[in-house]
Amino acid sequence: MQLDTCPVDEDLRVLAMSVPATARLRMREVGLRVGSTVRVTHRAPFGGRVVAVGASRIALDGGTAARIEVGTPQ
Amino acid sequence: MSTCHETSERTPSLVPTESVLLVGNPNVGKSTLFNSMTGARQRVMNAPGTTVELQVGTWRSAGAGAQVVDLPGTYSLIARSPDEQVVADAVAAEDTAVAVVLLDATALSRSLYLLAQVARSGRSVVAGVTMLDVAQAHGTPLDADLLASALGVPVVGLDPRTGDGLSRLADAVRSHDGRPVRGIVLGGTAPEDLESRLSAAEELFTWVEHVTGSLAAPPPARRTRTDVVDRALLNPWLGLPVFLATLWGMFQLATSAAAPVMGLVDQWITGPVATAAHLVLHSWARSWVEGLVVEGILAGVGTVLTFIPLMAIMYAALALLEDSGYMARVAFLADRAMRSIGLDGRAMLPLIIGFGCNLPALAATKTVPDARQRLLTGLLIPWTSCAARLTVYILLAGIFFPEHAGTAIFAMYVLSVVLVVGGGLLLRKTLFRDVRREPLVLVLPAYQRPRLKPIAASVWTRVVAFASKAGRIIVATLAVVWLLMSVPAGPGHTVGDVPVEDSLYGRAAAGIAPVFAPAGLDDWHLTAALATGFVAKEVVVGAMAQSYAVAEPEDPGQPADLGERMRATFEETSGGHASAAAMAFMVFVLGYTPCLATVAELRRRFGVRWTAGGVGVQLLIAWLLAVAVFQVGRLL
Repeated sequence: MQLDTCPVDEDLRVLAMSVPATARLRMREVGLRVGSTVRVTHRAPFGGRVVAVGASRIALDGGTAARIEVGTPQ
Repeated sequence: MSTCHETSERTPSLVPTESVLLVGNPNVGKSTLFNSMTGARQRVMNAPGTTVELQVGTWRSAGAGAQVVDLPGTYSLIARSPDEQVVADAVAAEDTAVAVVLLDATALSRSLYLLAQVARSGRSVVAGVTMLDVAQAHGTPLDADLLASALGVPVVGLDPRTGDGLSRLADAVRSHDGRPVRGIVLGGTAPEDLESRLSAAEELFTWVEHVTGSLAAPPPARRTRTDVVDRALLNPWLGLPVFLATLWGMFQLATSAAAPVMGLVDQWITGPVATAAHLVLHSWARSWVEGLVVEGILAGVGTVLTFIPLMAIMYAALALLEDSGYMARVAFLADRAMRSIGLDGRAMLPLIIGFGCNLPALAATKTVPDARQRLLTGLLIPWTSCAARLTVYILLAGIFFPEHAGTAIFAMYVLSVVLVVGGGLLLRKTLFRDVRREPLVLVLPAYQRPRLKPIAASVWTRVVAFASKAGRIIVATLAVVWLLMSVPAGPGHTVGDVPVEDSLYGRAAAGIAPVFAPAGLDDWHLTAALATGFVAKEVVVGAMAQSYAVAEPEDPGQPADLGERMRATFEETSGGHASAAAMAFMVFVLGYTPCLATVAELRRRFGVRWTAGGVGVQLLIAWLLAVAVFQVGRLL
């Protein structure tokens, strides 16, 4: 499932990020990468999502959230 | 300045030797620490050749004359914006400054990645760790000594808000022997292609994982107080009203809240100060000298002083929003709307404030994190229809559209929005093609209680910068305007005692009046008022009344004598299409330069070239629109 449709407050694992390489690098730099355990904490207006990565909260626009595939952590 | 890529070539230094570069992620507490380090011994400057603003101050504890530079917050030295590029260039510069890299104890991996990039450049590094108390509260305390052992360089625990740990940081900076960070290969090359950059970054990520693996386990995601607050503030039904209320509050600050203080300052200058100057000068100086000092220079100083409370209030409000953590939420909530013209969500704030007053709106551009986007926003602000223009709209709408005055004024605001959006889109496709919106990936800081002392220091520094730099331009220009209005263009009058139409100013206004003939405005009364409006839109109505030698109306909506005179002028210049010409006049007032103070602030922030270009384009667009409105209007 995609990050924009997944339930709130559930631990999930990032499986893939279909975003341009430069955006992927920026996500990696702020702590979001394939294999990370994340949790959607907020659904914001206009499709935006806030995800928790450890103690950090990272806001993503709706389009970007839709390009991140997540699954149940192993 | 090199463009957005990792830099290893040594570039000219920003700072003298014995200096400190403050490097860190956004919201790590860097600027708060800078204020604690330097107190009031700081100034604002632009990074050489850029419009990126830096704060530089003296940090006495680190040694006599030690300078500390507060660099823009960044996550990486692989720069994506001019601000990030300034950090990359400063780190790569040829100097012996020590980099104090601030690490966020609650987001250590992210901070260590930046530290690794700085260390790889070969620069001496001392680490300061912030947010230790928050990490402790999360159940993942960080041992600074353990981290120092892992890194091989000094690591000091800090609380930027109280200044706790500062003296130990100063000791560490003074005694640091320049040893490299353990495990980092020095002299990293500057990879140009994306794959190489990704590969180089991956090496550092591996190093970061190695270091963090030797420390405590990263904290699990758990609900925090910030999460609870964001449940409300990011909620579609509650968050948007709070967001709009915040914008409304900032708008009010730019208009009604600052007005009483500005009025008091104005009364003080035009009252006791002007009277005192008059008494001192009257006995010995010639009348024109007295006029120049009181009505020229003192009026200019008064204008600058009048704006200072407004700027101080605006800077304090912006600092409160930033320090509290809410500004990042503004960026997130407004992202969708501003994305359409390629701007960061934070650009919405200055554009809204601009409808109150353009000057504090320019101050608010500091919240936009990318210099090119700040410039683009700054160029659009003059088209937000400020409250001062409203007096002109009310006067003309009352005279020429008495039955539809509200609609005519509303049309000006609609046109203002069209100009901002249309101008933004046009600039994006021409001069700002490099401004691209990447996917929004925004770290939201935890909410915190703002601290008064650092905010006061920051406000003071910025207000001083405005008064000393923009203020000089305002005072000099107003003195020149006074001279033009006081020097007669021919015989029969003396300097300082000449009607406007016989002054150099009046003759110049008459000289340019034919340029406005296609807009139905070929009359010196109108062009003189527009020229005065370049100084400030508040004085357009007064200038119009002065040129007709009638009293300025108390209420612009009830113009009495002035209305009759203006109607007669517009009828004459428009060939019987006075309403179309009046609309053209209003459109011109909306489109051209808002005021001298805005021009001075634009120049201070963005330089002469952009300011002159902006003023020129605004005049051209305003003229074209006025002509179009008149030519179409006369056919209706």
